[in-house]
Amino acid sequence: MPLPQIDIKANHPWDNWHSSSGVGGGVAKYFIPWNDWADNSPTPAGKPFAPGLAGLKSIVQQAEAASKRVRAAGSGWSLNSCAFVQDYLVDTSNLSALLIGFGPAFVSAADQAQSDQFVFAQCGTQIKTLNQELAKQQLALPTMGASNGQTIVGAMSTATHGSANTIGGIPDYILGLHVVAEGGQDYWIERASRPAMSAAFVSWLGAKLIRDDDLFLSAVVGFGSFGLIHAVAFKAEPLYVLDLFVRQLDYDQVVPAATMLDMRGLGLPDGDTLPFHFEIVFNPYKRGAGQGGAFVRVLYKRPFVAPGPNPLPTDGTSIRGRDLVSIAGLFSEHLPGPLLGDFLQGQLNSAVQPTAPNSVLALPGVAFGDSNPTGGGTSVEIGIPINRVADALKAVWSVTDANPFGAPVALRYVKCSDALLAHTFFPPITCTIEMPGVDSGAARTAHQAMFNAFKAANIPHAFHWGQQAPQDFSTVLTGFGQGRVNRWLAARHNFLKSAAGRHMFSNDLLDACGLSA
Amino acid sequence: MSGALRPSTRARLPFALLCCALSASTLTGCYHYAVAAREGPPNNQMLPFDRTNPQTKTQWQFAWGLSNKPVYAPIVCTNDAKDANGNCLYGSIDPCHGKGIALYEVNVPWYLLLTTGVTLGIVSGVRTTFYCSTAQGSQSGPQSISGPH
Repeated sequence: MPLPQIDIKANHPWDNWHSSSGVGGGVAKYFIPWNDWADNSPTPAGKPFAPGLAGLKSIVQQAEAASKRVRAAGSGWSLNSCAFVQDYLVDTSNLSALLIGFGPAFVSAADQAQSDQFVFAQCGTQIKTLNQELAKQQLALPTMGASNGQTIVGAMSTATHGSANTIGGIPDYILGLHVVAEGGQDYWIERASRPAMSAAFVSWLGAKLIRDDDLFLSAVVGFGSFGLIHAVAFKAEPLYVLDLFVRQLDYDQVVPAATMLDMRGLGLPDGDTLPFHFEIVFNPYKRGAGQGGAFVRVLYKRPFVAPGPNPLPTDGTSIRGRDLVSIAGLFSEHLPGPLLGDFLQGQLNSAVQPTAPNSVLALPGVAFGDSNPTGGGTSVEIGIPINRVADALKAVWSVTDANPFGAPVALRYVKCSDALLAHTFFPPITCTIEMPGVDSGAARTAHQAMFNAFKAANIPHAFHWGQQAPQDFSTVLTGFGQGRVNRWLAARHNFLKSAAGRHMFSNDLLDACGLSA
Repeated sequence: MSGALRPSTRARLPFALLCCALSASTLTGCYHYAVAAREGPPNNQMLPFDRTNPQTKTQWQFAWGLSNKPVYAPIVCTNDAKDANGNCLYGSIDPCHGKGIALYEVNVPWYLLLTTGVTLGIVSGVRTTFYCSTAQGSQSGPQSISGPH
């Protein structure tokens, strides 16, 4: 086999997409593998990923030989250092091979009628690439996060989600994982209770097959702890169109919807039925009557009818429907309280963009579009049981009233996840509370105060692995419950059998949480 | 109060100047422009790119642009591997591996702006950075066990 192309940069500085404070640092060896052979010989027919896979195997073997820690980073979308390690860091951006549609023999017997909807995506494939290539085949992702620059494996590994109350987050539709682990050996991992791919597929891939529910449910939200994930498989949906409706209301008008998913009184296009995507973005400083401090954003899935809606023209400088973290850089922590509320309201009007009384049709790849780096943006997100939303809002307002800082509060509602350490595990629907904003002393003080307030109010909660966490990392695991944590640890021990292997695929975040041993 | 600095202030002045100089040296630039390429229909979103692997070069022009080489199109050694003579061990390739540029930035750091001003435009430089596209398209998965994959 020829040598894979791998660029190596020594002492390479790495930070995340938003250049968040304290995230990343210097990397001893930064590996950039490509889907090309060093001698430019052609890749095997039908396997455009082969050089990249060989590259990942080689990097793991090098790390093992040098007793170094190794980790893969995607687009750097996480707002903490969960993707970062100082020793060997792998840039997966160029591992973006994408196979769409398999012959029936390559999927499980139960899925053969829909084998043309199966997708094999290499780790560095960005959500926007999936949206684009799937749409060309009249297919779509079942759901996605609020932006399109994440890699599929990075988003999955941190339990990234939208607000799909009938589907869940990205990890919840992933069916199989291709993982390069100790010794550079690669494995195809899927649930025993829901096999997706056939033995013929695993043989074609050249991997070892493991069907194990706990291993899959641990590794799928494993934030890089089970090896280098080379690729994933999932079943795409027939292409649909998203019908976006955004309405600005007063705080009191949306409380029943926020706390009980009671859609009455919101004036939604489809009446009182719960939409596919339901989300409320609050301005914490505009909770009075007539202040319009609640932005209700809903999306309905509609059938795609050719030729479908076109993207709206742009002047080239504005980004429609950008994610909330992207407005962070525009805030000022130094505005006096009353001005802060007004300033935030203006930013939300621009970022969330009310559409009522109309709605806007868009393909999924357009509805959640591009975002710009903020140069310091950050965010915290907590998952809670839906029956504690009212208490959680009280806790949040107690913090924002005492510690004003430039962040909206976004509530999303996600079908609960089976993944052991997904923060969206609360059944039947988890409410996620997100506070994106600029990173500052005031924000960090408020974040910590909010974590303390949730603890004091005894509200069960779990943290998003891709966002900021409490200063005391030992508390991060508490919300998941010891049973889930023990199952995750046991699955990792059974898969990575040596202490050296578990050390190799750990980093400072795992150490701090007590997950690396 | 007289205009003379108090001793404690005088002692702090060099430190303050040092801090200012250090702060200025860390600034990436005053003027900053970028152009992003887009993918085609149906989504027309900006091309995916690798932000963590920028290709940066300071480009110089002299004598008000009379002596210039405006096009920068590097070719590098595959795997950065060179022999003792500096020749590529495994051949050469463009930094984007044929995938093209997704984002191009032009940045004028303060020291280049100062250089242009001090030399009245005789020596002028800008810092250019490009980011490679990571789009690879898609293809069909294997269709039959016996046939070509």
